[in-house]
This record gives sequence, structure tokens and C-alpha cells, in this order.
Amino acid sequence: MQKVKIFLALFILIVLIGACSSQNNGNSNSQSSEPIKLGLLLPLTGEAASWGQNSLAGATLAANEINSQGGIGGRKIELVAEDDKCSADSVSAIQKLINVDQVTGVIGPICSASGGPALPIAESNGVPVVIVAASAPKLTEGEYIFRVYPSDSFQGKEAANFIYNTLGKKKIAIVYVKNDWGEGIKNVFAPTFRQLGGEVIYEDGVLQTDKDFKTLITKVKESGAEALYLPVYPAGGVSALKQIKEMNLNIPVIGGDAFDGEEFFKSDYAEDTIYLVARVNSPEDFKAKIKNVKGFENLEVAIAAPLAYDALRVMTEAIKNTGSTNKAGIKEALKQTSINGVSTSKIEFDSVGDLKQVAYDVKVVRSKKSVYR
Amino acid sequence: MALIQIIVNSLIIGSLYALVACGFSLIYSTNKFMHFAHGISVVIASYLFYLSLNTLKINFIISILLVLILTGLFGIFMYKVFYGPLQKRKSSNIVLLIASVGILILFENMIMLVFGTTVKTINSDLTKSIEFSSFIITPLQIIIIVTSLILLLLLYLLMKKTKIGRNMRAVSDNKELASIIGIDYKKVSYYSFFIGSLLAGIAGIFIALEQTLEPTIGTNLIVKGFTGSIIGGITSVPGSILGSYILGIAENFGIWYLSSGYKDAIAFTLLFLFLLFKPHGILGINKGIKK
Amino acid sequence: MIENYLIHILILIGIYIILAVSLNIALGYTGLLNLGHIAFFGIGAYTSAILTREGIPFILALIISCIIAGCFGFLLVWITKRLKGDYLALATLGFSFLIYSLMLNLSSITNGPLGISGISRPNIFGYFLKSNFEFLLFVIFIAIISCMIMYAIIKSPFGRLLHATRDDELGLRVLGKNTIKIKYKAMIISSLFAGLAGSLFAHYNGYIDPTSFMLNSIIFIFTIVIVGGIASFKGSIIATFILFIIPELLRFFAIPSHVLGPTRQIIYALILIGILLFKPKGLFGRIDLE
Repeated sequence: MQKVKIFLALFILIVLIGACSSQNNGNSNSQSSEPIKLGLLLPLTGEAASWGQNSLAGATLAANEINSQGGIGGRKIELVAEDDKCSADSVSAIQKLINVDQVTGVIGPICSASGGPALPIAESNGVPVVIVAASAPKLTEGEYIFRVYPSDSFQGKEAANFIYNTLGKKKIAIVYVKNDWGEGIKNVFAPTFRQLGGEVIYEDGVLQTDKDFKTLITKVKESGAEALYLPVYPAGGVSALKQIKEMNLNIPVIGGDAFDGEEFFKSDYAEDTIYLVARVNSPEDFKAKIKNVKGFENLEVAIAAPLAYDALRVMTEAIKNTGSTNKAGIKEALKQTSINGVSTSKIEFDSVGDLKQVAYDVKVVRSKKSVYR
Repeated sequence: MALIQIIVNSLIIGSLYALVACGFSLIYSTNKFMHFAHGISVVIASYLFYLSLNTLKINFIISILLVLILTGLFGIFMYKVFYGPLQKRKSSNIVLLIASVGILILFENMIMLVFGTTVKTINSDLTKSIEFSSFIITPLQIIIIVTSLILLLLLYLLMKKTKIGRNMRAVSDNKELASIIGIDYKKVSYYSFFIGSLLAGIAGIFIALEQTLEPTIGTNLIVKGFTGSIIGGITSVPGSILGSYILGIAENFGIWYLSSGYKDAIAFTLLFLFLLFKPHGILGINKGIKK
Repeated sequence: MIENYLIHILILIGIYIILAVSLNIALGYTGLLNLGHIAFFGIGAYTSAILTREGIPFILALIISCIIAGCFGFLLVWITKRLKGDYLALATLGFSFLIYSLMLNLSSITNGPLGISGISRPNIFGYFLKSNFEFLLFVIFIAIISCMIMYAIIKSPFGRLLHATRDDELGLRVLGKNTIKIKYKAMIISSLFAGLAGSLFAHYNGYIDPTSFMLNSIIFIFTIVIVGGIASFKGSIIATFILFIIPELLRFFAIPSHVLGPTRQIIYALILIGILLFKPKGLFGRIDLE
């Protein structure tokens, strides 16, 4: 009997909730003078929160600029930010943006871990997305997904070019971390390197939790590789580099952009490691403008701010070109849109939805600091 | 060339597994429950070592001693606060097993709160490699292997030659009989937790020096140590040591032929096969397992 | 805002009620120390995600998920039937590790550590459960049906046999009952519903990866069953509510989210250890876990 009561209570609760939410939906029939809602899918809390805050600042600046000029066709831009914590929490966040706030488009995310689960939902609902920084290649697979940050596939390609042409190494070993990021890079790197005329002499994926690479290094050593491409995370990377030094594997080691962080440089074993990282401009006058935005006066401006600024501008440009908030129309417009960006000179998308032009910087760790090579 | 190098690699990782496994197995044999939280003793030791050496800048040797004593005391603390009261109310082994995983999760997350989740490294002079004709090894790795072997020998002597060791074995064989002849098994439990956790402390220090630190390494380590124990026989301390080395060899030779991604799969497959076909392990006693 | 959050939590509660009650059938009512329950949940989730990805309708995928999880339940009893006590618990734990590493390594089917994303929302005979509210109604419907079936099973003569298997297996065999057969049936029922819960989870979350089916999750569902009480139907249901709602209360304090995650885990661990230490029969249980 008790059980029945519990279920009954539950049902009443549900019906009440349903009543509330349907009321909400009723309100949001858009009229032409209403603001255009854009969703921000960002890590507002957690370890990547500074990225999220920077993106929020960049997007807010862009929205303020547009609104001060009268908005788009008389309609103001309204931003709705949701926290994805750089994790699969993005699923409920994006569902809220799409179903409850009924946004016209989404800006973000920052992390591939958040994008992987969330973006297919935007795609199946037909909501256009401009990714700020999540870099896994397959994220832009959908028709509605675009990105203002270089895809990892470029990283793989650039690394292959750099190793083959600049370093002049023809036989490469690649050891990658088995996840979106590592496999994405590897899948582009290996064929590019072969196309250039090089030989991928050894290839292996490691688990993210693995810390013991000695047998793997023995295999690399036996293979006779002239250089090692190592797109793994710092935790495994430091262990691997330590063991590489210990086992006298005296070949250049080239890492991915995950090595671009203090925790990595500080270790004794990172010395001389080369890595590639995407070039994102952040001019001084732009930084000054960001600091003028209310609420972000004390922000330490990082690359996420110009990226999010550009992402929002390219989205609004497409909305302007469409002349309405028809999402399928905006998607088509995004394919054609071209603007002069802050983070990079020209923002135009290729057939996949990634940037047409990208640039990478080659850096190297010297005396526990990262310098240009 | 490669063959010997892989054997050396297996010995290094096998020694680390063995240090985890023998403490685990020692605690099991006297208490008859799976102390999964043993993994967190290892992690606590390595973070304490990091704290003492890198943050507080305490001398290397003193740091080691400090960490070992604190880890041993942590073992006693766990027994006193969690397991003792559970045993007193005659909880089943399964309750203790589940409680131990609860303890593991509890302290793992506490470490996360205190130290954060970013990876930490301890830089050391002991990693300049020495090259032999057919393999390469570092002084630290030699120390790991030699220390493990000496400790394991000492543990064997402790069990065979000293009074406390004999008491432990008596309790391990038959708790009721042991208490009839006047052995205080509570005291034996305290000793086994202290010694077992101290061994985990040694493993923790070695792992801090040899690998990198993350709060979540404890689960992986205890799963590997536990696998080693099952292979060799969890009721037998020498057996679990043997099993750990076998696990090290299987993993390293396995990934020599397969991709490195299969390392854990190799361990889990071995674990499951042993649990099914030889649950008492290679050296364990076949008592009270099958009905 | 708040109501959407409530819907989200209630959907998860609905799914976990099925999972916890089904574990209780094996663990509580039959006394099978099964630490591999989460593997059935994972098998259900993966089966359903993979099948719908290949274009099989949701309802069919859901049913097949249950059947496959049930088959694995049968398999687990078959291979562990000689083991007892600790070793049974460990073999089942080993089983869940093994399934976990299969999810991780059979990349061509499971997509390995990347997990499967973009799992479609349920499409029931042409009706698409797009909003969370519709999904919630569906979950409640399934949860009620599942609980009614499981309740009927434990109250039936067969249910009494389950109790008897747990309390006095030898006695039952003396009476000429085949206890192995009873265990098979109990485990199949238990794993079948775990597979059902897994399928619902996959289609709600839209994304699954192997880490959702490892040690932490095993302990979470054990915590539910233990807090609610061994062999207490009502207990498992109420405990699911309690364990989902208590950590949510943390949101009312201004705790930064990188602290929130670990704090939530600490609370679960403390609840589990506290119950084991001070109220080993759980909130509504009548018997100890053996």
C-alpha cells in the first residue's frame, strides 16, 4: 500500500512540474521585437573555469558591441550561459539551452570531453553551433557544427610537416593516448606523414591511466625510429619522458598542445621537448576592451576571449545574412560567411565546418620555460 | 637485447606490485577480509612523501622514515576506526570488503580536495641510467628491485622466526584455536595492519619517485596488487609475491606482442581465469573455497 | 530552471530504482553476492546504443538489451557456480573488470575509451520522446511496471524459494529442490532488469563510456541497497531517493564545482560506512548482509 502512495505522490509531483514547464514553453513564441537568444556552453566552474570566464567576457563584449549599434534587424542579442564543467554534464546543459531557452544558436564548448556528448544533440535538433576551442576533429562532423579554433587534424598535419620537412626525420614512431584527442591527431598524422614520403615505423595507443612505458620504449628503440611523436597528456607524458631519458632513447620527442602548461614545464624531464600549439592572436587593444566590460575588470585575458568574441561575431553575421532566426538558414549562411577576426585574420569555414586557414607555433621547453623554437 | 630488457622491466613493475600485494595478502591472511583500501595507503604515502620532500623541504632520509611511520599508523587508524568495530559486531567478510571500498573512495576524494587533481612529480638524482650490454636500468630501479627482495625476505623471516610472526600464522590458520591457546588476535590484527601499511608506504615512496602522482592511482594499484595475490594465492604471502612478478611478466610480454592499450585487459583476463579455475592461486591453500 | 533540474534528477532516480531493486533480488532475496551487477547495466547500455546506431528500432533494442544482459547473468552463474563466499564476490568483481576492459578494448564495436555519443532519444512506434518531461513519464511507466513485476516475483511461491535459498540452502536441497536452478532464475531476472535500466540510461544520457561502469558505480548501487536494507523492496526505492537528493542539497551552499565532485563522493562513502557501522540492517532491512 505504501508503495502505491509513494508512486501517487510522485505522479502528482510530475504533473505539477509538467504544468510549470509547459507554461514556460508557451511564453517563448518569438516575436520580431524580442531579443535573439544565443546559448553559451562553457565551463563556468571547475578546473577550466578561467577558460569559461574568458569566453564569457569575449562573447559579452561582442554582444554589447552589436546591441549598442541597434542589434540585428532591431532585435537585441541576449546571452544565456550554461555550465558544462568540461564534462558530460554538457548533455543536460545543452538540452536546457535547446528545449527550455529555445536558443537560436550555441557558442562553445571549450572542451572535447563536453563537446563529444553534447554536440550530437544540437545536430539532431538542428541548432547551429560555433565551437570556441574544443579541438577533437570529429566534433564538426555534423552539418550544423562550426569551429573558430583549429581542429586537431590540422595539428596532426602540421606536426607531420614539421617533423618531415623542418626536422628532416623520415622514420617516425607515434605513441598516442587512446581517446578523442589522441586518436584524432593520430588519424591525420599517420597518413599525412606517409604522403610526404616518410615511414610510420611504429604506432601504438596507450591508456590514459598508464604510467609504465618501459616496454613500449624498448619497442620504439628496436623499431629504429628517428623521432617520436607523442600526443599524450602531461600525467602520462612526464612519466614517458622520464623513462625515455632513462632508457637512452636519444631521438627528438614532439608533443601535442596538451603539453602547453606550467605543470608540464616544471618537471625535470620536459627539457628539450618540442610541441605544437595553435596560434591565437590576442592584441593589446582587444585586451583593453575586454577589461572595460562590466564584471570582467580583473580578468586575466587569455586566448579564449578573442576566440569566443570571434565565434559570436561570425554567428551574428550569419543571422544578419539570413535575415531571420531560421536555424537551417543560419547554418547555410555560416558556410558562406567570412569576417575579419581578432584571433586569426580571416574566419571562413571549409566544407566540414573548420577554419580554412590556420597557423601553428612550434615551441620548445628550455630551462623549465616554454620558448619559441 | 630486447628480451632481457623486458625481463628487467617486468621485474621493476613486478616489485612494485609485489610490495602492494604482500601487505594486502598479509592483512588478508590474519583478518580474512579483502582490505581494498590498501591502495589508498600507497597513495597517502606518496603524497605525504611529496609534501615532506618538496613542500616542507625535509631531508630525504627523514622524509622516508616519517612517511613510513605515518603510513603504518594510518593502517592502525583504519583498523581501529572502521574494521575493528565491524569485526566486533561479527559483520561478514563481504561487509568488510564493501566498507573497504568505501574507505578507498573516501580518502581518494579527500586527497583530491587537499592536493588537487593536477599531476605532481618529484625530481630525483637517482634516475641517471646505467647502461649494460643488453639492458638499461637506473639506480632507483635497482634500489626498487633489491629493496623489495630484501623486504620480502625479511617479511618471510618475520613470519617464520619471530613470536609475532608465529602468532600471525596461527591466527591465519585457525583463529579460534589461536585464541584458545592464548593468542590475542586483536593485537595480531594491529600488527598486521601496521606492517602491511608500512609495506604499502614503501611502495608509495617508490611510486612517487619512479612515476607521477595523481589521487586516482590507488584503485589501479590495488587492483593490480590484488590480481597478483589471487594469481599466487591470497592466503600465502610468498604466493602473492610470486603472483605479482608473474603479473609483471605477463603484462610486459603481453604488450610486447600486442598494443599497450591491452595492458589492463591482460591483467583482468588473468585475474578472472584464476578466480574461475584456480581460485586459491598457485601457492594458496585449498581450504574453505569450494563447498 | 528548477523544474528541469528536478525532471533530470527524477529520471535518474527512476533508472536507478530499477537497478537497485534488481540488485536486491540477487543480493538480498537470494543471497548471491554479486559485485558484477554494474556490468549488466553496462551491457544493457552498450547493446542498446549499438543496436539503435545500426538502425534497429528502440523498443526492439530495449528488449534485446534485456535478453543479452539476462544471458550474461546466466553465464556468470554458470561459470561461478562452484564458488562461495569471498571468492564468489571476487569472481563477480573480476567479471565486471573484464566487461569493463572489453568495453575499453573492443574499439570496433564499442568505440573504446571514446564511448558512444549521439545515442538517439527513444522513438516508440513513431512517437519521439524528445523532451525530458516525456522521457520522465516513460521512465516512470517502465519503473512502475518493472517494480510491480519484481514485487510479484518475490511475493510468489518462487520468491519464497529465493528466501529459503538464502537462509538455508542445504535444507532446501534436502527437500529435493534444485537450488542451482533457483539461482539461475534469480540471476537472470536480476540481470535482465539491470540491462533494462542500462538501456534507459544510454538513451536518456545520449552518451556512454566505459568509466560509467567501473568500481565507483558498483559501490554506488551497493550503497543504495545497503542503506535501504537487504531484502527490503521499499528500502531500495526510498534509499535511491535519499542518495540522489542528499548530494543535491550541496548545491544550496556556494561550493565551487571542483570541490563539489569530491565532496559528493565523500558523502556517499561516509553514508555507506556509517550505515555499515551503526545500522547494518539498513533503514528498512530485517536481515544482515552475509
